[in-house]
Amino acid sequence: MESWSVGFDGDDDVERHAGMHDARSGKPALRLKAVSDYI
Amino acid sequence: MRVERLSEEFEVKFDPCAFDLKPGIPPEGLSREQVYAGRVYPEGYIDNMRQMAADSGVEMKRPPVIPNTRKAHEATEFAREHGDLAAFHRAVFHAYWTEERNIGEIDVLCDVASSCGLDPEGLREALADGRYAGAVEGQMTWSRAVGVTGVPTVIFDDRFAVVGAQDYEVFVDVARRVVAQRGTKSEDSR
Repeated sequence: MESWSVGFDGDDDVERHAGMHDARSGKPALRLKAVSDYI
Repeated sequence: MRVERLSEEFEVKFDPCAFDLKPGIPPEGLSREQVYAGRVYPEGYIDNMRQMAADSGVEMKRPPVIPNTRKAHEATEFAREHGDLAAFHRAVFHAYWTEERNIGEIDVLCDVASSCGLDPEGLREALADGRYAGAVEGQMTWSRAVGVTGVPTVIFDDRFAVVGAQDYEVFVDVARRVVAQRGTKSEDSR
């Protein structure tokens, strides 16, 4: 989840701006592409 | 599922990608005996597979029909656009492996969709006109192009792949390493 926070408040904001942390949960974001079939 | 457990620690963006594990299955499916005729499994293989599934909360039976999953993948794209993608993905697995339903049948997929709060008639229409057929074909083409040969293959942040039904500890270890390796200037400027 992207966070378009205005201003700069240290590394946390840089990471959030880069989409690396979810602004609400504070958890690190992780993209998981699951290549699979149902059988 | 192991992937879903990761959401306890990470804000997971789940992105299913279709793979055609058994090309050539007709739309109505084939019997398990037809598909696996003559196959002999090592001792304990099936029990081990079932135990791993059980550890992930999936009761794994031996459905009598091997379905053509193309429409199930198209329905997954419908869920991606209209509802809870992860819930639908999980529900289709459950319908097949636990309830032993033929997920190649549109009626079954519409029923599963309805149970997930999706519009079954909207899905029926989308499957009839092949609205997501191109997207699914594109995913299958991409999977082959990048060298995926076994499923599940889980790709972390587009740069690290874990193949097969590994222990949860493997997934969370890779996830932590991928996250820890971020923060370089090149990553920030993506």
